[in-house]
Amino acid sequence: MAVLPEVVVTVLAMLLLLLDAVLPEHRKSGLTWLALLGFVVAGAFNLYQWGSPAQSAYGGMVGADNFTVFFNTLFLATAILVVLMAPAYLRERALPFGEFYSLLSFAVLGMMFTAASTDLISLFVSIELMVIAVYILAGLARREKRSNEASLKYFLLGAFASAILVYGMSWLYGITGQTNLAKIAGVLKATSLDNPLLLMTIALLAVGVGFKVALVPFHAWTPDAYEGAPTPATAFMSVGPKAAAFAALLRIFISAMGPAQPDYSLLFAILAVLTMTLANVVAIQQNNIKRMLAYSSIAHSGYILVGLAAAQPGAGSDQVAGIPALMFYLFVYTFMTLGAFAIVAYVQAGQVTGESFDDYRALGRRAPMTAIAMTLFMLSLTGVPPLAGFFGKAYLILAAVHSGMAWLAVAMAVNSAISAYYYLRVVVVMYMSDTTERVPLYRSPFIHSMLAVASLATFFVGVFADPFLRFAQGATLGF
Amino acid sequence: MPTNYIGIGLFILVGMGFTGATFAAAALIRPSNPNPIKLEPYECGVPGVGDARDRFHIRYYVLAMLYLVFDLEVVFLYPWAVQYDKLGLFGLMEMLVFVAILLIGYFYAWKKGALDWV
Repeated sequence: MAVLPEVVVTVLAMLLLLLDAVLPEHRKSGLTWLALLGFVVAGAFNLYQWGSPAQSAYGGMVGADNFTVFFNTLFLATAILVVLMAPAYLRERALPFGEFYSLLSFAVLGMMFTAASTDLISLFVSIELMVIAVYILAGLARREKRSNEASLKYFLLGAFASAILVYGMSWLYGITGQTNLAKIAGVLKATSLDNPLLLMTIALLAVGVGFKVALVPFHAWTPDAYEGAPTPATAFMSVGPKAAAFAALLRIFISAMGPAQPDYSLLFAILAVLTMTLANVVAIQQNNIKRMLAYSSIAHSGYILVGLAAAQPGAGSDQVAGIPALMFYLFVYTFMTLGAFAIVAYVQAGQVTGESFDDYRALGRRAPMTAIAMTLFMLSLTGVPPLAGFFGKAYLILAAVHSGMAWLAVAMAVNSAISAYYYLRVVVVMYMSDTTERVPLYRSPFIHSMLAVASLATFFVGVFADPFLRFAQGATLGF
Repeated sequence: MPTNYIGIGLFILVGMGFTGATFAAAALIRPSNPNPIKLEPYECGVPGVGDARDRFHIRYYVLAMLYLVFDLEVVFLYPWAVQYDKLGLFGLMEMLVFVAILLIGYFYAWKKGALDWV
């Protein structure tokens, strides 16, 4: 069964929906356990498939190989961490448990199929399954105007981007006469790449997926959508769909359009520099921590894109090439970003908003362990050794240098220095200011265990980076 | 080749010509006797109120969504029914799974009160 993990998640999503409809209101928090169980079982089936020969299902529309195992691990870990951080926030804001977990499962299902797609049609349908669920997640707090705004903006711009993406796919089909990614690569290999139509296709596809991963200049929806959405949903949006969109980028631009790599490498390098520079400069001026993390997530999209710009299709996995570096960074990014958002959700849970920097005053005294975890995430996002974020950036910079784009490496290093300003600002506020605030922080074993997992991962993936890098390298063998 | 499109061009011309000629002939022959009742959208039945560009109740939206569920189901059921002999038992099982998934969505909507017209 090539798609067993996906089947488990499908059943989970529908079971959650059914139970939400029939269970009495006070029993619904038990759905947290069901969601956890489902994702863990799917994760176990998924890891079991590691190293088994590549399979395909549904008439070649979907494949299962190490690449999908890697991304499924990422998605299911994201789902488990989001399920752990959600209950305190959901209960505090009286948001529906069943719908949240069910939509989360459907979004995760879309993400898993996105990474597994080997055909343009299934790729597009999977992306849509993912984003439609996430539009609703963003608007789940339907009595809050900001949440409505977030959902509507995300939906309108997302639908627009999907239209451009599918238009680009239709051009790709027009040029090659194929929808299967491997067959497209075969046709492109055999034809001349001086085709102006191909450049148009690359531009359309880059815009379409660029919206989904929030690259500058297609990032305008991100800060508003991230700020307005319920915080666990924001955490999920900033990690899950982004990682899935990067998987889609790899599927489209490496699996299918790998032969055209000289045509798009520079385009992505320029987009990467634009994205990280603008996002970092704007992030400095934010006073709302969710908006700051939104710009931070845009900046990280820029860093991750360096991996695609420096990709050398067919280079194999023996060196630190762009694609393993990209995938390793996604892995690292997942834990540190989810951790940071979990703390936002945690600090918020007991308060009306709790989103400004002032709400973090003296957190070092009020909640010492939480403040240490937040410091860890902020330092890792900055890229301080020996934390995971440092090695993620180091591999990307190495990949850029290896592919002869030293200027890209320099841009990335300079940007990391800029980002230190606003990440460390959180740490300064937590430890070097005082407050009269006496609101006690919420107690939830779920969120504490989630913070423990995220901090340990951020620390140990940095200290023992090698097995995780080999995990990423082993996953790119399919290309 | 462009010559292949001559047929299509002719078809378009004949189509437009026939429509135009019919309207022209009708305008010449029919008696012209307008009155307010005749200009109503429905000459008999409930009198029209306002125009169609108005705010509708959000409930219609939910009903339209539910209608879509069955609409899509039929879209898949027809080709399946036509090819039933070739698809066999596997096809039947796949279709049952598909219908079951749709029914779960329908059940959820029902339980949540989407079908109650309060």
